[in-house]
Amino acid sequence: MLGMLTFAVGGVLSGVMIAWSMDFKTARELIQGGLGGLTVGVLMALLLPM
Amino acid sequence: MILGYVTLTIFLAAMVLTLLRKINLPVQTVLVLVTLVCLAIGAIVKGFTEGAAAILTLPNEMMGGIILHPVTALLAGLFLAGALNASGGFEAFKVLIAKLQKSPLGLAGTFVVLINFPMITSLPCGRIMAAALLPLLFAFGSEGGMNLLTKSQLIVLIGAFARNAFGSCGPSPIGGVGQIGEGFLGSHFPTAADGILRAPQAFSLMIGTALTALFLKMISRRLYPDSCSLRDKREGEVDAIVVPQAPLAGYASLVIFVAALIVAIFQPFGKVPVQTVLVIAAIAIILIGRAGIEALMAGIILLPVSAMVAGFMAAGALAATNGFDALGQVLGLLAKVPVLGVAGMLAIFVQIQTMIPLSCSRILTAALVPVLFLFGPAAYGFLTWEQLAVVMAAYIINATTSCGPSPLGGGGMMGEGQMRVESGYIKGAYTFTVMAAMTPLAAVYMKFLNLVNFAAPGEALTANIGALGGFVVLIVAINLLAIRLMARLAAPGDKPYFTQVGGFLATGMFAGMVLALSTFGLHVIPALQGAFGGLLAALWIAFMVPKKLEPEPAPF
Amino acid sequence: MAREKRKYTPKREDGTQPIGLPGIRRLQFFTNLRDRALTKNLNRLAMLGIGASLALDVAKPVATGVPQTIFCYECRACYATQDKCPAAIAYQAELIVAARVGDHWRFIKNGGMKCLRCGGCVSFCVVNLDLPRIFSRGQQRVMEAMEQGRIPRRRIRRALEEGLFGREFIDRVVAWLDKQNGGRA
Ligand code: SF4
Ligand code: SF4
Repeated sequence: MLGMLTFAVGGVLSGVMIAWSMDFKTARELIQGGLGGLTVGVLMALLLPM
Repeated sequence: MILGYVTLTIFLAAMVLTLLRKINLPVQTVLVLVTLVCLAIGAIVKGFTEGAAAILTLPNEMMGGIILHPVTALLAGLFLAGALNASGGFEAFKVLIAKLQKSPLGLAGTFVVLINFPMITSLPCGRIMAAALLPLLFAFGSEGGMNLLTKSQLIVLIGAFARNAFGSCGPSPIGGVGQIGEGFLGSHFPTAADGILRAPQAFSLMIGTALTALFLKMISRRLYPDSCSLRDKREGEVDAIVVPQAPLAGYASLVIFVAALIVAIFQPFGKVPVQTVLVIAAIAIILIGRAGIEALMAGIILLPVSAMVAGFMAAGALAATNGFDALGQVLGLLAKVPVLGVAGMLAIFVQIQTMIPLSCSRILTAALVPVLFLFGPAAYGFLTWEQLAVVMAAYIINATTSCGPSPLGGGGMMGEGQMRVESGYIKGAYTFTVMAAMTPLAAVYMKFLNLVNFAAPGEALTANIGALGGFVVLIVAINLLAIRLMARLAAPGDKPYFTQVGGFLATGMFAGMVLALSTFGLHVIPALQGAFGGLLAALWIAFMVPKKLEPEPAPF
Repeated sequence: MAREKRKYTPKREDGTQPIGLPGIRRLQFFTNLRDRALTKNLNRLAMLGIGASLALDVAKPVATGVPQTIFCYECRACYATQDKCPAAIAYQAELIVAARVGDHWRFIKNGGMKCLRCGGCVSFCVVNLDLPRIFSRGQQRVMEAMEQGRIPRRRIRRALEEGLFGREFIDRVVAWLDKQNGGRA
């Protein structure tokens, strides 16, 4: 569970960073990036042995 | 043994000189020459000491350096790319992206998922995904026809995607590089073979990808402003494809592609090599799309294959002449240097693959993980099992990502090709984030979360999660700060370059310290030793980043 | 700093010369040495070498009866066998690679001649290779190579002293060493 949480938070962080570096800089786009990162983090955590 | 030191020196010298363009030959040629020179020296020495039979064994020993798996993986990926392209699969992909653009994920979220796609699928070689999907990414740009992204965005997209791909072979459960470490740790942690190293790698890859994107955007673009021949959208040029169209076969091929990935990853029909599944999928796509075999062959580019094989040959020659044994010995000796100690030596050890990036990390991993294992309770007893696991996590992520920045036929060269930049463009971004962020991140994740899960389930996790969070925030913050400071001063020319070196050194020191802290706990001496080791590693890594880029000579 | 680099301008291909190897005209090495032999032809030869090594690396295991080794990822997941290997072999993948390329010393060094072919390691392989069969073939080839004198004698003796030969091979190895020494033990 804590692993999943860590991945989710890390995912959001990385998603926002990627979105920002790809010049998606409006608040809306940053949130979308974070959402994408969240998807990635949770999906990844599900696939890993925790 | 002297032989090993000699050939190792030759190899390193050739690599550095090629990187800095002091030897103006294509990398394949350099590597083949290194192979021949090493073998010749080996033949002379071994001939005198062991007789003629020993000379005859040298070619076989050299051939042992060629790892077929990444070669076939790359070919399978290219095959797949050709098939998808010919049957309209990429068009269908574009439609999908256009649809997702309107979903809550939006364009930004979609790209974030796309960039992390290789990690999610975790195939045993990053080249598969990179070869299959890089042409698609290219299509988002102006030359590619979709006109969705600017030049700068495209560079970041491709660079980050390639970073993710060329680290994804680490956490793969079906033949990933990390499994060698898991095999060794299995002699203490009963469930290690389930993937004790996977989560730390995946976590640090996820964060590291984002930092790479940031570095590319803020520094590489400024340091090498003229070395990218992509172009932006022209004035008045309308978006070529507003609502892309795709044939039915395109969608079908996409479904086959995804199904093949699922079969390859979850192996519902028993253990099969990934390449087999993917090639079958490619053939099915070809049949459905009624594309010709030419389309399939068109996707295959032989240059990356030849560079990779040449890298393997040189590495094989090095192994045949005991070069890797010499490297292991040198690393072991470092622990005896008083200012370094065990902590400082380990800080260098975990960075060694970024310092010597080969075309596939498996070469050095196979040679050095057994050495690392010996540092543990099994032989020398420098480390306990738990400490060994932490160092292993840091080492493995550093290793699996090393084919990215390798100038010797590494995977990153494929990304550079798609970005239309000179070779060496991504070197700074890739080595910096691995050294400064990913390696310590994997270590702290292992220390504070995974170790508890695998060694003593149900221990006081909540206190640990606080420490983990603190460390992660600290590492990311320091990296952001360093990137910011370097970016402020980055512009082509000499002085900013040295500022960049300064940034590398500072973060390298920090990384070494974090590693020492998470391995040895809160003690001052190991922390200082770790910082010093990190500094030395960073010094080497920083000076391998080219100051300016020059085109590689054409092979023919 | 300001020292000007001499620009290198390759001459055009001399089409009158016969072709020796693909892309290489035969007399180029002797004629326009400076212009061609050191760059273009070198690159071409390097390419040929690379291609040949790759082809050999695939063809050899097929010819020597261990085609399965081509599928090995060299991921070394099989190292997880650990104490489930009765012969205490730690590096199974090394044996696979050694068998693939015919690197007999690597095979012996990593304990390949002690393998009992029990199959304890098979379930750890991610692509389910028939490891015992590959190892058995590797052992056969090592013995053949030894008897043909293709492995330095010193290494054989060292391996024998270090106990790297399994019980089933010791007699044959000792007999061969004796024969080499002209009957002296
Ligand atoms: S087949 Fe050989 S290597 Fe595998 S477990 Fe049995 S003895 Fe060990
Ligand atoms: S697990 Fe199988 S594929 Fe992986 S290295 Fe061992 S033998 Fe090769």
